[in-house]
Amino acid sequence: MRKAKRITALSLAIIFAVQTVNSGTIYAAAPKGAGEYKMDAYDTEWKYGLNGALGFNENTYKSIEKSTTNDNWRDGSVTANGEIGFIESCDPKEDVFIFNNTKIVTDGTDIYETPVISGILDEQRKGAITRDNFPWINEVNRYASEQYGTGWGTTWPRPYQPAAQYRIINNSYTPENSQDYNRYTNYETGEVGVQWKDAEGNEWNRRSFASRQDDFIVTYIEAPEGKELDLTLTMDHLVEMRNQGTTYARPDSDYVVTEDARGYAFGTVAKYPIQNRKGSKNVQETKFARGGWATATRIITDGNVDYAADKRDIKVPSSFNGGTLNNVNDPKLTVTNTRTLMLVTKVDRIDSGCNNVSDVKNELYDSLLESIDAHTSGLDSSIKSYNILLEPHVQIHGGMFNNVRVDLCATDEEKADRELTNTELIAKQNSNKDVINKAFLERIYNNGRFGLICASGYGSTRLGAIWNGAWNPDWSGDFTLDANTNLQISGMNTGNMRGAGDGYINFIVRMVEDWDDDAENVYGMTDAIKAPPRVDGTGEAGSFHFIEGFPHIYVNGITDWLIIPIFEYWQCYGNQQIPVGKDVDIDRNKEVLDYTDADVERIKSSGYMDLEKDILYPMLKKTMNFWLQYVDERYYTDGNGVEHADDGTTMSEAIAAGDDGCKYIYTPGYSPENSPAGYGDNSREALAYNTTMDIAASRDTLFMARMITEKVNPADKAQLFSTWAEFEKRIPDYMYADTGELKEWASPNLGDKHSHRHVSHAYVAWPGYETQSSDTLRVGVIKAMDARSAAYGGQEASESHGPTHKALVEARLKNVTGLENVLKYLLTNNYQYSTMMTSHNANHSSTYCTDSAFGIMGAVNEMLLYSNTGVVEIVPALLSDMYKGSIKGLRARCNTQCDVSWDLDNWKASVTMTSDADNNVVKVRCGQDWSSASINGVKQNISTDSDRMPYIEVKLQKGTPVTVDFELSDINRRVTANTETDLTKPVSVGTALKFYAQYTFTREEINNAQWHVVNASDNSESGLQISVDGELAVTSAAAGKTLKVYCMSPDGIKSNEVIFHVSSGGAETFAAVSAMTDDDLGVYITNDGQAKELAVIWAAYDAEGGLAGVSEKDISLSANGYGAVNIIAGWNKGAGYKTTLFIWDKNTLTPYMPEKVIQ
Amino acid sequence: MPKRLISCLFLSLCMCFVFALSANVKADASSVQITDNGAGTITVVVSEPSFNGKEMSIVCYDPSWNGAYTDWESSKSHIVYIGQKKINGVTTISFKINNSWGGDYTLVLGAGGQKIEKKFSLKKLTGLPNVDIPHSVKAVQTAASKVKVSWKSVINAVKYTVYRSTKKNSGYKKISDVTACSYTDKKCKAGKTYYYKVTATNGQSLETPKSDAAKVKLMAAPKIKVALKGKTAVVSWKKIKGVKGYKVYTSDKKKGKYKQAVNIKKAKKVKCSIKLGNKKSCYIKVRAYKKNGKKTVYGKYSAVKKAGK
Repeated sequence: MRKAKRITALSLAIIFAVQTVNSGTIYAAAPKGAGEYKMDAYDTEWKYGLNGALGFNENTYKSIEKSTTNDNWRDGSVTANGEIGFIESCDPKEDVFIFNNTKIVTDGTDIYETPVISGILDEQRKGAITRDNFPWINEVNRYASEQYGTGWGTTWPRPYQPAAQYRIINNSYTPENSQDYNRYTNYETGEVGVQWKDAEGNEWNRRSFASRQDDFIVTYIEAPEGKELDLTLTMDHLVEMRNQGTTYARPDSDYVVTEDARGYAFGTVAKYPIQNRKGSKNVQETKFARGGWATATRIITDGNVDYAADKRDIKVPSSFNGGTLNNVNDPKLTVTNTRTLMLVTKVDRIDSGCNNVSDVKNELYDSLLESIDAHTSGLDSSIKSYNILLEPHVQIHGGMFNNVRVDLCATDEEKADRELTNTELIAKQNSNKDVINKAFLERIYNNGRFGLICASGYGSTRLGAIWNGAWNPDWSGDFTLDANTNLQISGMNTGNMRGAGDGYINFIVRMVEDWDDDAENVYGMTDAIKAPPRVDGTGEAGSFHFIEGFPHIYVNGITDWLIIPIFEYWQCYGNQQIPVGKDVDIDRNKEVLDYTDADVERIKSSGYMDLEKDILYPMLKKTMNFWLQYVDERYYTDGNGVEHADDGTTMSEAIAAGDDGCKYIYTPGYSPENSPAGYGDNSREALAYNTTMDIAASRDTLFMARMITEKVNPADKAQLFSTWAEFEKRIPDYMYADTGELKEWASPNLGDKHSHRHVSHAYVAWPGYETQSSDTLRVGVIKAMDARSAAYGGQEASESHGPTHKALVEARLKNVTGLENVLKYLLTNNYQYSTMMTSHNANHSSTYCTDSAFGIMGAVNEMLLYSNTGVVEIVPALLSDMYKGSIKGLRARCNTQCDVSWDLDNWKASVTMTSDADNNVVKVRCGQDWSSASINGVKQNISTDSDRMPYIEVKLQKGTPVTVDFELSDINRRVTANTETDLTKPVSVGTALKFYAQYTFTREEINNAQWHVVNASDNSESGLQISVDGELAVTSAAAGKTLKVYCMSPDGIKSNEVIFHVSSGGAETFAAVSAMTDDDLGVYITNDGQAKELAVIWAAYDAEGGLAGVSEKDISLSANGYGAVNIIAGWNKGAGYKTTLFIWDKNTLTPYMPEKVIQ
Repeated sequence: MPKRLISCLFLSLCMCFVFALSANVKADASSVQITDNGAGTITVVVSEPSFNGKEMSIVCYDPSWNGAYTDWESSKSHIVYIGQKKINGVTTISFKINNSWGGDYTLVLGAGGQKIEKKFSLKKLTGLPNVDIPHSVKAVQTAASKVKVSWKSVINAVKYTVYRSTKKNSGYKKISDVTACSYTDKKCKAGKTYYYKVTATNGQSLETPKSDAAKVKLMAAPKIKVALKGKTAVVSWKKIKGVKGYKVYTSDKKKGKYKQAVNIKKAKKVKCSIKLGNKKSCYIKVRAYKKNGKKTVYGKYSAVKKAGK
């Protein structure tokens, strides 16, 4: 039984509007409504704050010292606008701002290109299979020596780095300020605030945000009535910032203070070192040798500003290559005699034209300041001016954030937890690690939305999103594309953050031209693309990162993985015009994306790319070209499972000789970042073949390419489809271990190594969808994930991307137990800092990394709404004690917005769907046990999906909301009987069929069901025996019969019926058997010796004999063939109409057999 | 007989045989008598000898069916009754048509690969909404991308709904609700054919079935070629059906002001010459036109082509 009645959920109507502004697009703005929760606790205590908006309060902070070894910046409050952002310590004594721009990376001397190694491809294909020859790394070094006169080494992307570190010294600080203290982050406005009180109870405030409208950072500082500010602004030297590695070639930097008619401004200017790419050949300067970066801050105040042009000597730490800097500028600007101050800051990079810091000042700082002044003309330091700047930013940022509201708390206690500070919430969760704290999960979810929006715009999210307070962060703080960025954006499209999706698409389009080189240089391919494993966001995307034990150059499936979010954007929003972002070179993309001159002109003049024609179609076609050229006829597995590696035979020859079971061997391949059992971690043998990820990725590319090609309808569509279909037949099969888990490498010669953080072979579940249609595959992945946990002693890998990846997979598998376990791990092992941003490893170890901070949000979306083209399933993986709640505003992957709510105690679950397209036919499913579904109180017909799950079919019209109410039932009251064998074709005598039984919704296996097999025509005994395990040996006694298999569960529930035909081996007679499945009619027809085109018609009549509805399905039958159709009633079954089945010739509409009345 | 001739005869015979097999030989329509009781119940007496002893299909189509069964999808929305009956001698069958709005219905009976098709008339049933289906629907192109749809008013209609499709018998989507008896569709594309149907809705929000379809094909934009012969530009294009003539325009600048250079008053004439004179080049575009009463209606301009260097 369900739990007792809880508090009733309220509904929320969300109205969408789209409005374009100067530098950003407002993608919907949802007004608040009933059912939303607010953060109220502090509103009465503080003048400013959350003011009822979503966000967090926090009464702790950490000081950021001038130190290269301290990581306190990781607890700083953060916000950003998709390109620039900041980390603020919120220290009332010395408030430190670290400024970031996602474009600003440390220049390097490495070779940021893909080495040309295609010459050894044949050798490497074979060596990866025979396991004894790995020539690729030598070829890399041979190429590097020949081309550049150097070795390759370990090449990391250019490291992400902080741009500058400023300090606001509070000269009137007293210890009371740190005690009566609060900092907050407003997720809806994108503001970071800090406030404290002095000994007299007066309140001091600071508010900051990074404007999406104006591309600058605004800080407003306010003293209480009757008091005045006394602040000193200083700038730390770059060698006084955290450094996680060593900066050998230190950029030159200086500090600028300028004064003009508007007053003072100041900034950091830095010049990249002038250096050459490594090597003695083809010498050239590094990418940013003549570039630099700068910040510029305008001080807006009516108070006094005293400028002290101090100088100092700095002892340079070894992490910045040691030495001493003498007589360095150390300007100080002290502001007094005013209640308010506004600081406006821009941060940017310049790529060329600079030989020294003075050039950077002239070329960049001055223009940044000019831009600030242009956009702040007429504004003063008042709160009114601040609000003028804030309001358009909130329209864009909040427009995205407010699209979705999640409500997981049901009890008063759970709701009260929403008022806790972050550290209080973390502590409360850790006080009871067995139960997920729902307010904590809500906070993480909302923080994930906020963070992903902040990080997305210019591009997408890095390892640490867009924030970084350290030089040389681990893994360069880059875009790691074999899991991390992929996980972080998992909730981007379903989470209704379209602007974030635009940023991601531009991130891809900015670099896609280099993917063509990747495919050519590694594999010698033409007209194909292959993505690299990690990039720095500059638009360069060579596969330059690898070492012998990490052969990332051969991760073939990354291309597909990176296209999936773009395809998903298309699924969620339909075809859209994508705004061309900054630094996207359309001319550069002309060849790789098959643009004509007219296309280039159109895109440039309009500023938009057509999602289908300009992005998805060319990318998917070229990824298909990759797979077609990746396979080689000399490397195949024959029908007996024998692997052939260039042994003088070819697959075509084997097929010609009658072996139709041949499959390609995908070689070489690397399953990130694991190696097969029996080989050392990160040994050269990590390079292998038939990686399950590559197999799944190729199948997924086919799925996407077919759908988009159908839409674009190119002239050569038929030829493309034909070629792809031939390829599809020869894709390697997935393989399972003896214990049932899906293997990471589909070869009997490569064992699995489960003690690994990555779960790349779960690609079939997420980001792919194949486990939705294959229970064997689904169970195989569940077992594989369990094996991973077992290898960690029932826990998870410490690296957060591992369990985060698993959370997404388990949600897609609809495996509640697995999902709960992995979420508990992520919520109780101190990944979260006091800002809810996260670390790469447990207990805040390793580095700042937002994999789990953002990825959990994606997993929650999947947990509450599964969707794919033409189907939604609400609450597919609801956590066991999540008995009431709602999520509103999600996008389903069928161009539809969904508001989902559930109340298990009241036996209800509902979804309101609003389509953006007309005639949008969607299967609507519910993951909880349900018995009926209604629209406007009218019970709907129930159909059965291919996986035997019930659904109702809804045809949505654009902009017209439709609410489907599911009436829930007792758990496990419906049983599924099924088989993995394709029964759409006749079964031959001698076949052994294996049926399985499970409770339909929980998918809990039923081991002791009673099985039955009868003649489908009259339910008479078939004479066949089916074992308790569901094994059925089809004997000659069944020849020519149409049979029906079903089971009874131990608790007496009858399953669905599985109907199939056993081939007679010769002539058949024309006959039809029909059976109801839910409210659908299944018709199973055997044919005589004459081929037929049939119309199978099911008609309903009212009491007076008038036609009430009619449905029809066509079917073609070959001579002595067999076929089955499932017909969905075109009328409401609840009306009690009489129905009749007709089987007619499709063309003449004349009958082939007497009508059949359907009961 | 020469081998070639034998082959031809054999081929012809085969073709005749195939034709005979595929042809849908109609049985005698006079062997079917249809009556109705005025309340929607239809009685049919079938005496066709070739149907005797066979299962017979019964399909009745509404008055808006175009009479050409091509596939189920295109015809299903017009089916008002469907059934089956085994014929034993002279057989009487009866069925009911729900919600008859009146008009000429078509009954199609089929057995053994043969059909009998017969029309019959019904009056609008009492009890149906007090509004009739709009009639006399017309669709006329009024500008390059505009079509005016008009119809006769019906009593008690509080609004009309206009539907559009690119196929005659399916795919109709609502494009607008109006209260007047005309509507101008401004989202049409040159060269495309559109079909329009209209319904009426009464004060009780009851909507009639869709009217007969009105077809319009918009003038296409000419696809012009320009060749330079000395100092003369020769402009040519393919003939566009249904137009009255073409007008040719020239300009010195691609995005400059274009002036009419030639008015060709024959649809068949698809070529003309333009003298450049002292100019090194000029830009040319063409559009078709036809007459709508006294008014000239223009199609979409062609793409601009440059003549000269």
